[in-house]
Amino acid sequence: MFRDEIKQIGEAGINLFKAFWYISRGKINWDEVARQIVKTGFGSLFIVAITSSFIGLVLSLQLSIQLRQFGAEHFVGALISGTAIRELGPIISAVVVAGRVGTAVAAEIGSMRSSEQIDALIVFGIDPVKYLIVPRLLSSAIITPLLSTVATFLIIIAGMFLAKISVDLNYDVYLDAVRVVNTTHDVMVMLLKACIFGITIAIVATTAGLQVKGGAEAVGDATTKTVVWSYVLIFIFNYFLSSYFFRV
Amino acid sequence: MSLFLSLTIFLVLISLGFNMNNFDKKEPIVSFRDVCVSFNSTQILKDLSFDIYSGEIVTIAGPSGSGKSTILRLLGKLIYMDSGEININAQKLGMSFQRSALFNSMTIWKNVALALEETTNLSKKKINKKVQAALELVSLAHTEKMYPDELSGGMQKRISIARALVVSPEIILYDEPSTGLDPGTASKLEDDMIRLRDKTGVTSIVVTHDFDTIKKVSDRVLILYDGKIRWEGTKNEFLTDESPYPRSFRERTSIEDLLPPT
Repeated sequence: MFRDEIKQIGEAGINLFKAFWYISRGKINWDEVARQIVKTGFGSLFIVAITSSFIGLVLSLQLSIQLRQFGAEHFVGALISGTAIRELGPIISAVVVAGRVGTAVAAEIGSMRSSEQIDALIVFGIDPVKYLIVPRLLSSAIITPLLSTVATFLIIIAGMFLAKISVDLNYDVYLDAVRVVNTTHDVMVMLLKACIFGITIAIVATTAGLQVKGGAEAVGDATTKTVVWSYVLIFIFNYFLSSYFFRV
Repeated sequence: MSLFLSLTIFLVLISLGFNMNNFDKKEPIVSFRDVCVSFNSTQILKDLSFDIYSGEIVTIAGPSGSGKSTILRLLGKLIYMDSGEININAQKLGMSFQRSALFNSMTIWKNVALALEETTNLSKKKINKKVQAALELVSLAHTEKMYPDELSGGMQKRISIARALVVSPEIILYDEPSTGLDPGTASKLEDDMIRLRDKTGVTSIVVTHDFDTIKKVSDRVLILYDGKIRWEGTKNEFLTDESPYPRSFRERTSIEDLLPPT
């Protein structure tokens, strides 16, 4: 019943292991990594900026209204920044990367599979894991934390402006709360989470692409599979990482 | 003195005899023995056995779905057999794919150079020299800065052959080389295949169902039907034998129509 799913998980695990083996031996095509970062990172930046700014606005709006009832509006900065750094920043960036970059990678590799380009690599003795997965895994592991940093920053800034407009909260009060609540540990965990999400998306997308059998329909299925599995895994991993790093 | 001379002549004759004997029984470069392959419980190849010798152009012909491409995929290590034995007495193998399989994001130079860049430690200068030589062999040296999309289907197939040749393979595999090409372009490609063998001595294994290709390029023809080699012979035998298998190609009819009812 779950034979295909188990096979996919097994292949994803093998691909991840092989990719780390190549990385540990320094067999990395940095030119291709840079090309992937430029190709995927800049395009995602705009979407991350828009989505995170509006999430910051709506979060600030709701928190300001709720906290004002208790006379606690000066906690808005603390709550927004805490949530943004610990949860929303990595999640938003991962969702954007999965939706925009993951699907593109799955479609690209899936098309290469159906047009025999992957077979050509294998016949010529080039391991697709080294040639295709390693650069995409590294670029995803680099751009997701960078986008997460941008997302977190914009959520906090957007929240600050809206708190000023909605409850007339002073910028200094807001920023003081941000400084008091968050630590370097929180920022490091944010970067680590985003990095793990980036690796997850890259492995899911490349494995789905490599498993394509057939034509356009199979490529479409690979992109759908990438989004679904990436989101499911990101949210599951997020819970376990948060519960491990932010224990009461 | 005469005794010494007689002894020498005797030894020379014996050694020649040995060599002739070895020549008759020369080792195959590719050997399949009782190879079975199945996909999803459908058996594609059934106890398949054949030999291919160095320097020859062998065509594996057969109707669609007979398992021709499966043989190439086995040789290219793209799939694995269920049982049997495959011996390949060659270090390097090149393959020209049915749909060319060129990388659209790379220039022609990069496409041809890729295998050398990724699998050898050759300097850029040496790689460039080999790429130029491979492109010249298919008469397309002027395309090195172009992208695959800018070339016709026939040119893409010839670039695919140059890419296979650049690693100096002992065996080159052609998967349906003339499929999708007009007769003139297909004929030019077939001329290239013969010229490359004559120039480099590369063993060529061609998978096709195209009668014109079989007729033009083959030294030897193997006809695959229902997962087994059903007929084997030289090109002349293929063109004259009255067995239903070669006849089906000459008369452009299906093998089933010529086989006696079972």
